[in-house]
Amino acid sequence: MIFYMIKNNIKLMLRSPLTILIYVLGPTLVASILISAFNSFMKSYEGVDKFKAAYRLEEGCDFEKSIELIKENFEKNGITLLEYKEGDPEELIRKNDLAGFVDFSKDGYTVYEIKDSKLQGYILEYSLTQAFEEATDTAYLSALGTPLEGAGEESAKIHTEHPEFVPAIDSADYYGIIEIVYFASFSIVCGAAFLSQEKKNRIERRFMVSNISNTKIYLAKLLSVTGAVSVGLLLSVIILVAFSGVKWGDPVLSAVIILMLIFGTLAMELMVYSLTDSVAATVIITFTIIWLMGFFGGSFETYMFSSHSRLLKNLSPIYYANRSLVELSCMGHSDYIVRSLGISASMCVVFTALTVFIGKVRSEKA
Amino acid sequence: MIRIIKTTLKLLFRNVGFWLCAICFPVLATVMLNIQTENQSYYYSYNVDMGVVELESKDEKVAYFASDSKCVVKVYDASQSKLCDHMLDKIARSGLFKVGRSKNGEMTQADADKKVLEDGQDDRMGAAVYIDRDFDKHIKKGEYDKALTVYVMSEDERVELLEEKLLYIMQKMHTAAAVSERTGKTTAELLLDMDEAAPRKTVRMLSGNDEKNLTKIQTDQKSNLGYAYVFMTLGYILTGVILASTIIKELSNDVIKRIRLAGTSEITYFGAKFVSGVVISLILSVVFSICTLFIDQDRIGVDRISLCVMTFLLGLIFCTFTLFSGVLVGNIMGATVTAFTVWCLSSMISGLYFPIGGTSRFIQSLSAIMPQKWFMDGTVMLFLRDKGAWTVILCVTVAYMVVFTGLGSVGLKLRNSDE
Amino acid sequence: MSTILKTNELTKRYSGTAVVDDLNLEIQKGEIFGLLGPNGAGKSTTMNMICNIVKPSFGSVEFMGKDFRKNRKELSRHLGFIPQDLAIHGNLKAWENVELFTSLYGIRGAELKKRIDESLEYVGLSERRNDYAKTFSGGMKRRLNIACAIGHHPDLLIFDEPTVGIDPQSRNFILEKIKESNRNGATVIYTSHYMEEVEAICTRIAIMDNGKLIACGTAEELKKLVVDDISKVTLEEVFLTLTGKKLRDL
Repeated sequence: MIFYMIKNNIKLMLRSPLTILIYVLGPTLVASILISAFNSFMKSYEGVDKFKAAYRLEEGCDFEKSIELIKENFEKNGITLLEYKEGDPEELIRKNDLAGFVDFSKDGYTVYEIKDSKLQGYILEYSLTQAFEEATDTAYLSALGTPLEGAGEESAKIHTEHPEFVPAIDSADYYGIIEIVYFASFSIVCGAAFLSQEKKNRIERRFMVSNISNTKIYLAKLLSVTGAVSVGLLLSVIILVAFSGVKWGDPVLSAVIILMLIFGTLAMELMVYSLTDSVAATVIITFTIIWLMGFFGGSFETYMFSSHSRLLKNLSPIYYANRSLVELSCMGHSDYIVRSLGISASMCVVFTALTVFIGKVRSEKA
Repeated sequence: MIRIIKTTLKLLFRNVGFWLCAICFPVLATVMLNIQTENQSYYYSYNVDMGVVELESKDEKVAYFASDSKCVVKVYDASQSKLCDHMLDKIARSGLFKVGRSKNGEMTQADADKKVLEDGQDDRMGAAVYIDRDFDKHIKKGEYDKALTVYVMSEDERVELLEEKLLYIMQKMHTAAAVSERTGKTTAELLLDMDEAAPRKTVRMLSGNDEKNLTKIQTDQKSNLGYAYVFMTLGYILTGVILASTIIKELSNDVIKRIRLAGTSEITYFGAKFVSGVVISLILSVVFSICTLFIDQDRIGVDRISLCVMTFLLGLIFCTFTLFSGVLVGNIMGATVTAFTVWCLSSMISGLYFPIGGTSRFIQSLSAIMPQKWFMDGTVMLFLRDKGAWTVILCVTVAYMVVFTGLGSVGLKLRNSDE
Repeated sequence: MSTILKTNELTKRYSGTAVVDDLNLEIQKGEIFGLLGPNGAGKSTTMNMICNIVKPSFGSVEFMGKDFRKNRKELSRHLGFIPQDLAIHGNLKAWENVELFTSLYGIRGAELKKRIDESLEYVGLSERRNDYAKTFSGGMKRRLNIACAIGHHPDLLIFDEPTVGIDPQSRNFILEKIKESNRNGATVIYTSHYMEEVEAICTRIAIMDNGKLIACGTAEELKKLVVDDISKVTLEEVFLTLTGKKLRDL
């Protein structure tokens, strides 16, 4: 009996441009913006290729004697130093596609780094710092009659440990996954159009006349909205995987986690709807709740970096879904899967029971 | 006109949804203003030559130190010695690493082992380092493996360079310690002499931004204000939709025909609705200002009157936008969706949630169209006591109002000519 | 003729006011029963109680010899309700609307397809089956509204002002179809403000006012309550005489 209700509800939702806008374009657009915003921040260091940098020597400075040696050593490490006697450092860097500029003077040296090539700039600075430090330390200690200990030796070692850590995830994988979760949590919007139509046209009278139970009506709504949202999000996932290179973990497990989250959050949203009896109020209230859950659960600022208290994170069901999916993606396993599924299932059961109860009370009173 | 304004306001004030939005969103915005975060988010990323950053506690996260792509090193310092200070300073100023140190004289190796496992789950860094309590003694004896422990916390190749650098510095300190007895200077003094013998280094990062002029506290205030603006603009958007719904209903049930038949022009009618929008913006801004009386001025960063005026002007822009877009769309659901979508995207792109300095040029260009971006810039200018702040804010407000009312009028004319 | 529907002391109170007060009706199987009354008389509330949309404050409804509320599951599929407001989805096609609402009664598969075709054929919308309901004219929407209520072949059809706001051709079509349904065995309860419609198609008519039944019988019997020579009076005049000419503000 509810198969036809589910089928027609899904048709209603998929025919609405709202569904496409929110569940296909929405996550794609939002994820793309966040991926771009956090790209360099979350990018793992992958080393740098050979690069060129410029320098200028002030006449009569101490560096004149050692510059050729510096150039030779840097060349071995992939850094080519080119001399430019005149010009503004920033202009020279931009015009000649250089990674940095060093201005050697009698007072010392100034390293100009540029944001677009900051990694190369850091290597340049570090290499110079190390080179000069070693040279002056060796010279200073030699003057005191003591060679620098350990120079050239490999016997000394420091104590190193390799504890377990969550591997770094890049912004594409993180936000490509997280935004799917966020939009999956806010599925009531998908059903908003047909729910408001039902209310406007008083279609619930036909349900009452047919004596179909409130539970079946509720299940039809729950399953149909879940179905429509899943279709929209699947398209979004495909777009993000194809164009942003988002990598998911185990696809079946990931799908189950998201599906359960949709069930859990949608059950909560339908309960709010059964209480308020207003689509607009439901959307506003549930948006606020989901936004806060997402805020604390890592949908905007990554959950690894955020400094919200653990308690607030633990109160957010989205946090567990985010964490389990992200860890599945970067580690292949996660300790949060069971918790995520458990919480989503509990939400589904509890809010479903509440909704059915509220429906029953309402129909008794009517 | 006054009659239309009065009637519109009556309709609004009788709407429970209006009061919910007018009260809840300013309250939520105030709550966001008052949120205290444990660490200071984006401050560290913009300062090139900072040296060692002292963490307030061992639980403070260092993940955001990586925003400028340096290798982040979190140090648990049980030694608190001068030699250790020297070593960490050298690492921090070498150009490749960002060092955050938590001083805790009572921390043991076991404590560090446990803490590092938590860090591996909840934080992000290149490496962590535990400095032993008896660091100085171990250095003197040349027991480098007992002096400190390096925990490799990532696959970053630069951690190897860190290990090499640490070893180099410890060996240098050991040598200096051995020599110091002969020279009559302390180890620290010798190390200082060696540093002074090295050429002086200056570093300049080109294409930086003004945010480095903000203090640590101001950066956080700005972040909180961003979130407060998010909620306030949402409140303006939703109340704007409620206002737009009065026009939509009057259009659909032909009340507007009665109004026109009485001789009221379209300009008067929409002017009245616009004035109602001004009143709405005022109400929300005043509620917000009243709410801010319950939090410290220090949390806000700008004075309350400036904040009230800024949110009012921001509200004016969004209310007007929602009013006209709602009328153009023609139905309440469509108006809500349009307004909501615009709000979501504009809040994100304009830098209210995160700084957009690191985004692509395309997004940075797009952000220039968003009013919130200019209001955040105005806020920064207010922090820096730049007198040009109000000029920017007022010009931006006027510009958007002209654009929205202009577009709205053209759209309405087109709509009416279609009918 | 046997009784198909009976109301026993049916009462509905809202905040202490009885909008339907001690209503006793008996509707015979196979008749077209008209229910008239001014605004606020309690007609719609009575219909809603019969259809299980509203719970009575007191009294009961017997349908096919059984208590309706206690045997809802079994009896509801014998009842079809055509509400005054259109209860259809504009964004579904005509056949999809009929499919949705017919399937609520447990009909599925090939049987459901057959019923959809029959219902659309019956209301003259077969050619427009694949069009969205929102593209229909007012009269077509009303016909679709009917199609959505008859797919499960109910024994009792309740029409709540089905011809409001539509053109004469569509109205005539609907009235003819009601008579056809009745000839095919369905019992009909019909409410309307259009006296000529009620007089034209109803076997018996009940007049309600202020929640009470004030008269019930054939059109001739009702006219005789007012005048001896029934040819000199219309049903509308009878109605106004019995209920009064005072305006009813709800």
